[in-house]
Amino acid sequence: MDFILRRTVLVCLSAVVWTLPSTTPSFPQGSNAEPGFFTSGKLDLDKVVAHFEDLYRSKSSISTATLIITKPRRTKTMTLTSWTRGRDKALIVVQSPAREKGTATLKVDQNLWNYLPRINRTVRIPPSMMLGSWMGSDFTNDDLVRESSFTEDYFYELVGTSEDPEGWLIRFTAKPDMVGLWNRFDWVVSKDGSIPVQAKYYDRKDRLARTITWEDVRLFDGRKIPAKMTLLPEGEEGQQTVMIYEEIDFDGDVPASTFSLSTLEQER
Amino acid sequence: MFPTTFSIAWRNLGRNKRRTLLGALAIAVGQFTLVFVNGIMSGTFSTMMETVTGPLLGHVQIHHKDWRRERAPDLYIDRLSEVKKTLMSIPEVTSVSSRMYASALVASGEKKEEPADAEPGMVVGLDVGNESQQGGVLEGLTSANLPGQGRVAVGRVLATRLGVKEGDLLAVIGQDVDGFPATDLYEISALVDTSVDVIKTLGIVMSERDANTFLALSDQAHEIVVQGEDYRNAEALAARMSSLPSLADAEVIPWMEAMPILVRMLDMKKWMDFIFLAIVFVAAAAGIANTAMMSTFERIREFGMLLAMGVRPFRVVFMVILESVLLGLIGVAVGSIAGSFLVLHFSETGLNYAAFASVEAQDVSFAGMSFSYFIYPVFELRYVLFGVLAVVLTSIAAAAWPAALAARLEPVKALRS
Repeated sequence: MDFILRRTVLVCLSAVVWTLPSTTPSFPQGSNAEPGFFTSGKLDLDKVVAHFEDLYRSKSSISTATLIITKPRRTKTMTLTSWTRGRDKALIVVQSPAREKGTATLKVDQNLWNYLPRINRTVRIPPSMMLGSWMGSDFTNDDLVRESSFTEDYFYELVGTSEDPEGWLIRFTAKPDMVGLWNRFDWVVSKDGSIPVQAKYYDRKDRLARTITWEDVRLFDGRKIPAKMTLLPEGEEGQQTVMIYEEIDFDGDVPASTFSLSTLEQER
Repeated sequence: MFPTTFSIAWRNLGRNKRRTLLGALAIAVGQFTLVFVNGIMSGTFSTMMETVTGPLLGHVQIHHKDWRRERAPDLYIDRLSEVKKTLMSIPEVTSVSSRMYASALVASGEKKEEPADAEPGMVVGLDVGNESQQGGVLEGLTSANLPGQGRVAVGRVLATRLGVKEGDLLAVIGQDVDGFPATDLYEISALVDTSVDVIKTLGIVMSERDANTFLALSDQAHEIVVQGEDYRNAEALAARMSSLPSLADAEVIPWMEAMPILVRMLDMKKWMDFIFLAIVFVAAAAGIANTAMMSTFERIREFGMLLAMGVRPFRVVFMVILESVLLGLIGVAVGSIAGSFLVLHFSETGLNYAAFASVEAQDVSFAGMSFSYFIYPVFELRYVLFGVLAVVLTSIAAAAWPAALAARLEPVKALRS
């Protein structure tokens, strides 16, 4: 649905690095240093959006991340390992805590399967449950699966500069025929246009529904990417989901067979 | 004096048999309709009340104050056993049971080549002992088929969607009250058909103990259902409960409030009763007034003769009224017998509404419950008596004017007319 979130979810969960369908011509692969987002002194919006659409892409990735889910009464920390290949394939496996160890989510194209080691069963998540929570977090299954694009599904415009947080404010408005949760989202990017800082999502009734903040920019395998992402749902006091990724290995050897139902059920 | 008057009145009815028959028939049809329709309505209504105040609503329900609005799993009643104990100490309360609800994904737990598709379902934890009684959600299950200890009953519609049957394994994937993932595998002990729609279409019914484990609840429940002695007193009972200190933060509602639409239907039924009674009145009045009027005018000479012979005017009045009351009683007797017979007959065999509506379904869903298309009319003597009383009163009223007319005749003029 909303591209950056989905992408970032996968990045943070899995440090998904999406395959470049062809290439991103404006800057060298493996580095997002100085692609030059300014054309004659003005922020080149198309370039920025294209950059983010490609920010987390690579042919494949292997990553580890920590997911911290906070609910009013309890907090739960999970570590996840993820493998991705291309745009459409991802496998996320819970490594800890022990109770959930081995729980895995496989995404192939539009399909989502969950493997539950406790009961040793795999189930396919039906389309009707796509808006349900993923692993009890504030992310939905849909956040993991949905394929849409900034440029295809949203109109975007540069609103101006943002004071808090500092950066450029870009507004994405859903195209009239777009089916999805969000009416619009306001997105703040860093001054140089290379890093997402904050996004506010507004639901179909144009009420603020959730805020995502990106922090702690680190260098992962030669790429500058925010390591920490915080999702704050609106109107849910004491509830948030934080993802911090520890390690990302881009373009490693991830065979296609990783993304099969039999691998999903393997013991790890 | 009376036997003579009676036999004169009786013979007068026989003078014009066709007219008498028609008058009686009008009354009979009216009474028949009253008895039969009220029988059906009482039947429908009592079934409905049993359905409503039985498994689904009970007489009084208790929830967390925000539960009905949000239905979030963490909106529960705390210190359940203490609350239940307090409730049971109220003399009018006959039973208290608690339930837990949580939405979940369910799939067949049988090992197959392809992973099973999950479907949305609803975990319902309940008091198995209580709900297997008459009127409960699990009514009709044998003790071997009752849920408990890792075995669950599944709503028949859900089971069909999942393609599972009794004895199969069922995978349930959900969240506990804090929203963290919870998964478990259960054996299906039975498929349940119940009048509670949500259980039939989504329900995974498990024992309270299993639900507590799955949802990580301890001595908490989402719903407390209280049965009192009489569903009509639910409001008073609810008021009494809400004043309990242990329920100060909870929402206590009688079934009338939980399902206001049924209260409106109840009101409507009262009006319908009244309308049918009115129809009987009008039919009787028209039939009798006509008959009495005609026969009085026909017999003006006769009345003049009687008066001339020294019969007292009162006796003439009495005779005319008796005649029409007799007519009314004949009609009402025929109608009552036919109506009661039909009601009693169908109360045995049941009346299949579906056949009239030309649908194949066995039940119809309304306000979250399914009601059977089969109606068992209830015979209520009071409706027969209402009709009889109505007809008698109407007969007297309708004959009063012709009778008074006859009594006030001047014998000489009447004889000459």
